[in-house]
Amino acid sequence: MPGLNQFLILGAVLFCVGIYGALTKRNVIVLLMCLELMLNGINVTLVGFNRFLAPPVGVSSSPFAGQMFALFIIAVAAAEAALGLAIVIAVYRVRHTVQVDEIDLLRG
Amino acid sequence: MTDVIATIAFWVFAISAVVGALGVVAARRVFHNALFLVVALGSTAAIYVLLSADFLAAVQILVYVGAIVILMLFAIMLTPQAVELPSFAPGGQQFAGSLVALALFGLMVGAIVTGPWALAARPLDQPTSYDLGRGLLTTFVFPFELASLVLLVGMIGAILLARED
Amino acid sequence: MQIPSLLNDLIGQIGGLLQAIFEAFLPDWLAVPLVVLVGIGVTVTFVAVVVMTQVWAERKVIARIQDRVGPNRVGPWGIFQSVADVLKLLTKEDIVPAKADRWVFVLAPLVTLVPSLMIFAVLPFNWDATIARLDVGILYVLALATFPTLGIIMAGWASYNNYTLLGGMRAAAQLISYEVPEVLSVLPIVLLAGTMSLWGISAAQEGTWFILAPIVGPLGFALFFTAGLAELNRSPFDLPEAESEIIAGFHMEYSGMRFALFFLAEYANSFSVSALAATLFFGGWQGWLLPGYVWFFVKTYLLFLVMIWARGTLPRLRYDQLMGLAWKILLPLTLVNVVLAALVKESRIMEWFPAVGLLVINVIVVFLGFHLYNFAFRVVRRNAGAPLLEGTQAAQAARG
Repeated sequence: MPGLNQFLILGAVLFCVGIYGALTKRNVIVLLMCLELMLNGINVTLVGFNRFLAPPVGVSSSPFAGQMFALFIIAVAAAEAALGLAIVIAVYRVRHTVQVDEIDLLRG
Repeated sequence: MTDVIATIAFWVFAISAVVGALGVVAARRVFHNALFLVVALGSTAAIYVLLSADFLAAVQILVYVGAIVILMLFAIMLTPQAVELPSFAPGGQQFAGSLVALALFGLMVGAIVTGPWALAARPLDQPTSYDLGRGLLTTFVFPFELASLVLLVGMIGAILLARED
Repeated sequence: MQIPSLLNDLIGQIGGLLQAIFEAFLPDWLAVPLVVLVGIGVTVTFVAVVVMTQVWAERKVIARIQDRVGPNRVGPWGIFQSVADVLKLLTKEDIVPAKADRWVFVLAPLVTLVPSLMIFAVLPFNWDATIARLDVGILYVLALATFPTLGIIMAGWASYNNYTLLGGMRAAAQLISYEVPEVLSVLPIVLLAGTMSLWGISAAQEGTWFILAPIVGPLGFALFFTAGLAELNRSPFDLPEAESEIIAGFHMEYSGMRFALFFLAEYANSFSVSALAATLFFGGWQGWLLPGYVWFFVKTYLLFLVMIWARGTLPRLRYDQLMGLAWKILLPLTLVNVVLAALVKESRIMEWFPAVGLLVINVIVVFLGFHLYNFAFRVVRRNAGAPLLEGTQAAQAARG
């Protein structure tokens, strides 16, 4: 069974690939997908910490705090993805584009 | 023996998660990006099973793959592009982006490997549904109510934003 | 009843035997995955055989409902008709549309089929014949039931065809709409049983089946069955794949073995939904006299018979009727059901009330509910009919 380090490095890889995608991709929907990748990397880290660092059930009042965090992150990510995609569709209706560098009306 | 199988399973799913993540970034057509995301999210759910987070793995598949990815696929279908433009930003931005990502990755790996993690005596390996449910209604009841409020507001906002008029 | 000890825990015994055989000449870490692979092969074969019997049963029963005989040439009572069909599908030419996205086209049937097969790992065939007693069994099944939506979208998009795309999107919208009532209708059962494990839910119905729970049982069963029928794309909800609709919908470009995979997925899923309904509401393996797995299969096939019956008798729902049913009727009823289940659980009525008494209560409830529905339907009809009639008469008067 791999130790804590392997799981943390996996989370770091997912997070960094997500950051690379968020910085370089042009399609807004793909940007949101990379955001979900980042959140997943964070979730893996949290659940890994929960398994390896948490005190047993009897000792602490919330031994599953890591998994609880991950659960809330999933719920909020769902709400955020829904809202983000609704905004993308609304913007598409007006500007007929989903490329990030073409939606620049507010640029100074 | 279980150890060896667990290690093999970890490497299989870790590699497929990374392949899925790279596919999200590197695929040329947007539809393929979404499918690679399914691969990445499904492999992450398998990693959760390895970490004994059974409830979380099922919720991950149910919410992420079963709802969010389908939502993204609908959005991809509803926003067709007249011309398939190159998906990556011009070269300079790619170089800078990869530099940032690699630097961040190096920093994180350094912190992980040298960090003094206070490992527990025995890893926490037990069914989680009961304790998660109990925690949601006792210790974490306030975030629970706030999360349901966030979801309600998100639902109303999404309906309002995506309406035709 | 005295069950011969050979049949006790058949799956576990065979698995142990295989593992001992493999470990004799293979290293440990290779033996266990091999046993698992053999188990997967056996399960898939079992599913294929079950699906063939299902197809035969469906064709015969639908034929009788429609006052004809059904297949009766290939073997006695046509029992080998399914085999003939499979052979025909296997020998058909494998066509991939020229401009189709080849990878997605090929993967779509697999994404639909493999999760349907994975559900069979947690079905409790007997108190000692479950492949995996997962603690989150029902959540695992519901999570896997969301994959066919993805497969249908992939199939509709990859075929490079306007009509398959439209059919696929309509099917996907229907499937995601009915996921919510399906998941919520299972919640009262989890509440009553106190566990999400399917084995645990079957075991908790030792004395009384959950269908006998006052109001919650029949209502929950009706909601779960309806939502399950819609999730399976079966009549009366088979708009996405009916022949008279947009040219057979998402699987139009699929032929031969690929179409057979979609077909297999749909029938395996319908067996799973019937088996789930039998486990959640009718006690799974619980029963007198006969061994557990006999009861399990009898209950599952009886529920599948109800599905075939619904297909043969009910007309197809129109798309807006379908969506209205999911969001405006099923969803509020599931929420009410959860509250009622909490009341039933708190009052502990299932523990001390005799099963026969609960049965009488439920029969009265269903009877009253049926008449209430008829009454409400007549009231709505009367209120909606009058303006329509006046409008027609006014139009006739205006025309002179």
